[in-house]
Amino acid sequence: MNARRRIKLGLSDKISLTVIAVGVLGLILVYYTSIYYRDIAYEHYQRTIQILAAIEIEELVNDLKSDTTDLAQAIEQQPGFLQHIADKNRQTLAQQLDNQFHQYFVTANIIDLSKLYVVDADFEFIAASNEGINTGTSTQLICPAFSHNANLRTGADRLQLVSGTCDHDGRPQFVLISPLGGLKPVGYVQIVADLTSSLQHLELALGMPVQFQLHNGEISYQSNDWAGLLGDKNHLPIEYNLATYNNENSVNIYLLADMSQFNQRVMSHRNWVMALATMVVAATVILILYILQSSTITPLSRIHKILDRLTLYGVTQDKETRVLFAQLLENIITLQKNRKQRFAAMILDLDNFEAVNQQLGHDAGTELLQHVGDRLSATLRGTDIVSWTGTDSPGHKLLPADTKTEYRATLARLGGDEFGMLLPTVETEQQAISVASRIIGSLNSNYTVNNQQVTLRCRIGVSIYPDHGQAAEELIRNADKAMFEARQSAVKYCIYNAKQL
Amino acid sequence: MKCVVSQQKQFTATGLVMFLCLASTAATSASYTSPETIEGTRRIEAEGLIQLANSNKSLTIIDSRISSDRKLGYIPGSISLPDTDTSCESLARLIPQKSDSVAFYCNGPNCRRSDNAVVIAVDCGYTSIYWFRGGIEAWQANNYPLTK
Repeated sequence: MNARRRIKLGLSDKISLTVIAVGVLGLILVYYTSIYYRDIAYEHYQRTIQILAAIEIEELVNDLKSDTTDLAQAIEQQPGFLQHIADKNRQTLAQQLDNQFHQYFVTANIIDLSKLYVVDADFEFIAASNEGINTGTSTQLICPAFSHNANLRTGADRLQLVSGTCDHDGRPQFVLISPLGGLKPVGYVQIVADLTSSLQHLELALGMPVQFQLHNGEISYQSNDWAGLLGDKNHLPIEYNLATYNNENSVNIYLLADMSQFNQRVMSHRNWVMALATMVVAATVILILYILQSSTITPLSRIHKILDRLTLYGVTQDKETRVLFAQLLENIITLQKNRKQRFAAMILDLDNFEAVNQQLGHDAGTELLQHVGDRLSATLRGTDIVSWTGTDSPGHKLLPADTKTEYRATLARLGGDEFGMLLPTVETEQQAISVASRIIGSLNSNYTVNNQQVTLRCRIGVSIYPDHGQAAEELIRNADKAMFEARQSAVKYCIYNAKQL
Repeated sequence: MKCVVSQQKQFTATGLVMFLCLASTAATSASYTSPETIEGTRRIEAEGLIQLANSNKSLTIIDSRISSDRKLGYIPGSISLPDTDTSCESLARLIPQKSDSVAFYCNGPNCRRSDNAVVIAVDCGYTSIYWFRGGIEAWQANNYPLTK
């Protein structure tokens, strides 16, 4: 039922893919980190511009206060103005207030005047300008809270200038109340001016497009290039909320900060980092592949090729097998040298194998060898003598996963009754003795070949790399010597240079 | 102050000494602060001046600054008489009685013109002298109106 197709990858493919995956992750991280930091910078910039806008607005409001104070002076200095207040000469006062709508402060576009009022010393309404906003009832003051609060003051405080912003019909208004008649005020003039007109200077002061949105949604002003730049990814929208005196209604000021230069720098930096990361990943992959190729993959593939040709059964040229075994050993030495690992080589001699061969025939000999191979496989499966390139060898992962290697491989028939074995994970003499004992225990018992009972006697000579030889030939020779020593001493196994056990 | 050094001295030394002399001169002029009180006068603040103007009908407020300063704004109802022009004669023309109340001000505590003027007024025998030491600086800080 398992229809899933398995993609088989070699070690180098896996390592390359891992490095590339890590690299891609790194690039993604760089990308998102740059976005994250850009957002932080944006946030920070927005706050800075908000603070700057607040300072500029305060400055503009102060300018407006100064201008309206000058206007209050101009109103007071009109001929007979104070006397008209004393006489409550409403008509004339209204006329004089109207005059201001056609004089310097308005015609020079310094103040966008909404309304002018004159009240007496007790803040009783006297006159209002006919010009400006139509309030319906002439006695109805714009932003009455200001004059109400101003009238609550006592003593010298009544001489103070009062100013602030308030909301009238959804539009923010600036209000100034200035005393008339010197240190003993006979009345007050209340100047109401449109605040958004003055705030338009923000556009110039901050050098960015602005839009003023009243709390009812009406857009009272926007820069000419606003619509074109809104939505542009290089223009950062910034909102500033201007609260009025009563704090209930306000005007939302929107600004568009040009971030193109900043973005350009972020992008170029990010691209540079990403290019560098790509190069580092590529270099790492190449380096790893090179190291693997030179140290592991090449000897392993050679070993694999030799293993395919080595045979335990059947008739082979003794010389060729010996050469192949030596080559195998040579490559294993190359591999183990890189890993700085010890291992054991063994020569196994079946004392009476030739006799069986002659008595029962070659077919029986081959069958007997199959039994020997089976027993060896069964005995040594748990260790790693027979699994050089099998599934439980540390080296196997370096070869492609679909590499097929039989367990017989490291057990090579070197001569008529002589076999060579390699034990890659046997590193000490103690381990070698233990393995040799198990082999002997397993092989030195009865076999049934052609319905006849046959008994084999085997002896083992052991040499350990690199203690007993640095080269393949030397190791084989020394293992051979140990085997002869065992035969001469009539013991089952012998380790080269070691005392008979 | 002696600022001359011998010609054998290095040029840098001359420059340094000159700088120190200039700096100390500048420091002297900038660090002037009016005394807290002047004998024979009553010191008042901005609020007190307004209360006095409202209660005392005969109060004369004298702006002791030069005319260029006055153009930038003055306390409503004040009369210009720079300290350099202040004398018993000029005061007599503005204030008929020695017992009449008179208040002096200038730009603020760092401006010595009102100090000079009140000292002259005391010497001339005026008995109801008010000294508004805070001057224009304190007046503006209290958000009171100026006339231009």
